[in-house]
Amino acid sequence: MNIGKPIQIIFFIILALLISSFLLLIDHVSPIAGIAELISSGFLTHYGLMATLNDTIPLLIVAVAIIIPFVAKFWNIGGQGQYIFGSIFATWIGLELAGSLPVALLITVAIIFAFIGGALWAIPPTLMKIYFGTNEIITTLMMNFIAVYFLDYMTIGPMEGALAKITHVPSSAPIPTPDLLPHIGGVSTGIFLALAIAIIIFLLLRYTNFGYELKLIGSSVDAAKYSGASLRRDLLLSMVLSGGIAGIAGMIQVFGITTVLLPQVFSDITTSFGYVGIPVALVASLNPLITIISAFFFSGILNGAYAMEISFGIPIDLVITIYGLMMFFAVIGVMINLGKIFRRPRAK
Amino acid sequence: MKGIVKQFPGVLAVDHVDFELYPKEIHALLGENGAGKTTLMNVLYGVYRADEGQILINGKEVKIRNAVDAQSNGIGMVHQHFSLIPVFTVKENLSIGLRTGGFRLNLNQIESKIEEAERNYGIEIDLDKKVQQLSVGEQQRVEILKLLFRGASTLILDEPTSSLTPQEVANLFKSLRALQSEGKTIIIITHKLYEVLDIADRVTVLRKGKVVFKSMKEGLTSQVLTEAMIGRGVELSNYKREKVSSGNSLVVEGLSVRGDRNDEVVSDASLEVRAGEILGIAGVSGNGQKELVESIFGLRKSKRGRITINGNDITNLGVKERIKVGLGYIPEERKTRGAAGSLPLTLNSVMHDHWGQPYLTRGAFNYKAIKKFAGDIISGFKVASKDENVLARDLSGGNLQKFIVGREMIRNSSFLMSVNPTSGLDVGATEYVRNELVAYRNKGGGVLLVSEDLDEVLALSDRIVVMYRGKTSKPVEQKDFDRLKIGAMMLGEGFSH
Repeated sequence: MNIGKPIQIIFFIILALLISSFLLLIDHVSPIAGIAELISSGFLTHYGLMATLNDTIPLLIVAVAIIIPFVAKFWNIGGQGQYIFGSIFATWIGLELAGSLPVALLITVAIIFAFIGGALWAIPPTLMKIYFGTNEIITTLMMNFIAVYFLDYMTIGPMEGALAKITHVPSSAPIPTPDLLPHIGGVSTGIFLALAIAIIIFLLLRYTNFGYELKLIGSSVDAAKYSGASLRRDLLLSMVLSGGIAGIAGMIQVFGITTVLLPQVFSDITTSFGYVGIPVALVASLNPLITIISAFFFSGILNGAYAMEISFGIPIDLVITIYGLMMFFAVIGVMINLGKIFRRPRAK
Repeated sequence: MKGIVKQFPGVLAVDHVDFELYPKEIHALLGENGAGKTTLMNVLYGVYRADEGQILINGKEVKIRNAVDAQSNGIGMVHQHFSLIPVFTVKENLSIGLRTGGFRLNLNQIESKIEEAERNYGIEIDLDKKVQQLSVGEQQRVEILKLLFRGASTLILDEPTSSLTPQEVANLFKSLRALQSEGKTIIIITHKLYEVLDIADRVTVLRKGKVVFKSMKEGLTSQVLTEAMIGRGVELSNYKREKVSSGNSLVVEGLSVRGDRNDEVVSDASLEVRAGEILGIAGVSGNGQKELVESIFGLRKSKRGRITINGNDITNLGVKERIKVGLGYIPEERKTRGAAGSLPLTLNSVMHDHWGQPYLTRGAFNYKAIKKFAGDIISGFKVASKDENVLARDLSGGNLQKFIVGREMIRNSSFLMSVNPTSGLDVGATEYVRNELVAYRNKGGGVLLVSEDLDEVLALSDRIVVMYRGKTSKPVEQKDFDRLKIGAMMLGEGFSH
């Protein structure tokens, strides 16, 4: 069953490309040239590869973060809010302590603060689920809305930078230490942190009792209770880790790429890391190591799509539509079993 | 049904079967699990379409493509897996598909009709209870009632009596005979040979998808039927018992437990399971047995009372601590509680050992040791499985049960609770599991056996406690075992109300 999965995903991605070709034709762009641009600018040119790798960093971290509670079928849709709160906490402590701490220590402190910020944002929906049985999909999603607008307020309010006051483009002040997360060949060193997190979470899920209990909970809550697992502790811990790690993604983005805190109000659901992390994790069948590939792939597709916009003058909406199609079909490729559909008799 | 063939991937489930049903007869369809009897009936009921063969009613060929076709031909079926809606009440469930009073659902009018039907068939259910709060046995009664209530002319019942008391079975059979005399035709699928002999007019026996035996009831013996069914004679209820006693015991004193509806479903229950004995709990399902067992294992909080193992008070311990003290549990719900269906057997093998050596070494799972443990269970308990990486849900019911039994026994627990250990298993697997329970007892383990199958309780137990409305009876010693007397206790005789 699992052997066929990669082939199935490829099959569906080709299907998505066919539909995209049709859309390109409607927009009077040669599909072959368009798709060639998508692939080369996403994955092959130096600049494209660099941008893709930089985008892979937060996407990979958020996707891996989401995987932890997803294994227990606890659906944390709040990656975006946790990512935002991590970035707010990290930027705040970065602005407070910059200059007074050595860079390595500053980064360590920022990582801890980002973790705390993200975790704090993940805890309320988890406690509500544990004690009142509220649906975590709804509560984590609602927490995102609050976080997005709270960040917006912070960047035009308490954390507004001097430049923003003049330009009226909301953002925080830049953290005044140069080379916080240095770039190698244009790629943020945050990539090592991202890879380390993916590997650590893979080991955590595979080799620890905690990971085992999450799998039991995901398979059957009754079986987990029967095995002696502590469901409340496991769920809370999974969400603290999930929110905290998503928060670290926010910190790495500020420290490694943007250097300032930027509002998210205008970035939509299809391109925010917090949401895109969900299909990226699902396409990887919730395996943190495979997530490295899927995060890289979707980052490349998005960058390639942006390049199509520039090279061919395709409207941005069509570009994002193509990106959305790719993701939709890739997730379908994981969720359904083609073999079963064709072989199984139609009966219940 | 003529020359019916049904092929599943890799299995020829029904192989050129001819099956004749005459009006107004009660026809028993016998066979082991996987013999194809349910598949054959599913073809008749339109769940599956046959690859070959035809269905004739009164000499005329009919096409049954789905359950609606079957129902319009007067055929109704109660499946082993119920088709009730859990969040609906019994009344609402029984109302589904009844087209009385146009679009408006007149529940009051239906209620009086249901009560009439209940009286006629002698089945008693709280109409306002939600189905999800009912025990398996009670749900089955709703299913049977639903079918009777809808009044199909041909009724197919898949293992209908497995959770009824002898008296209730007698009542059900009385109802079936009453229906028969009203001109209805009944097909009954059952493992219980004496019931076949009791109720059926005609028997068809399937083995490996083929008809191996057909006969009128006259002159049949259970020996003949058993041989036809499994190809060899099986000695039922002949277990070697050895006297073992270490003085250890699992003691429950004055235990009260709340149910899902917050009502007291176990009240002041007391019992003692001694090392080296099987204490059977007999009772109609839904009388607190489920909650009692869950409370002893720590899955359900107790309101009052004390539970001790070998003198250690475990009343306030968590599940994990109870397991460590030496308690094992073979639940009835194999795929959702006893095992995690979507996980491989390796991970399922350590469900009660995942916190320590040798499977967890310095905080990390030792997959080599786990695989070996799973392999030991598979080979030691004759689990038919390709390897240790097969998913639990891909094992058949019997093999998964053997796996769970093996896991709980191999880990040297001193007391084991087992709920309906053989429900849904074929004769071979049933015998295997029962023998293992007795062997465990003979090695000095104590078993608390809860079963809705009174014959099983009688055959395996050293002593029997009857549960009725949450209360426990005094233990009945083996020399005083009497089917009818215990059956009467199951219906409340000797309990204060």
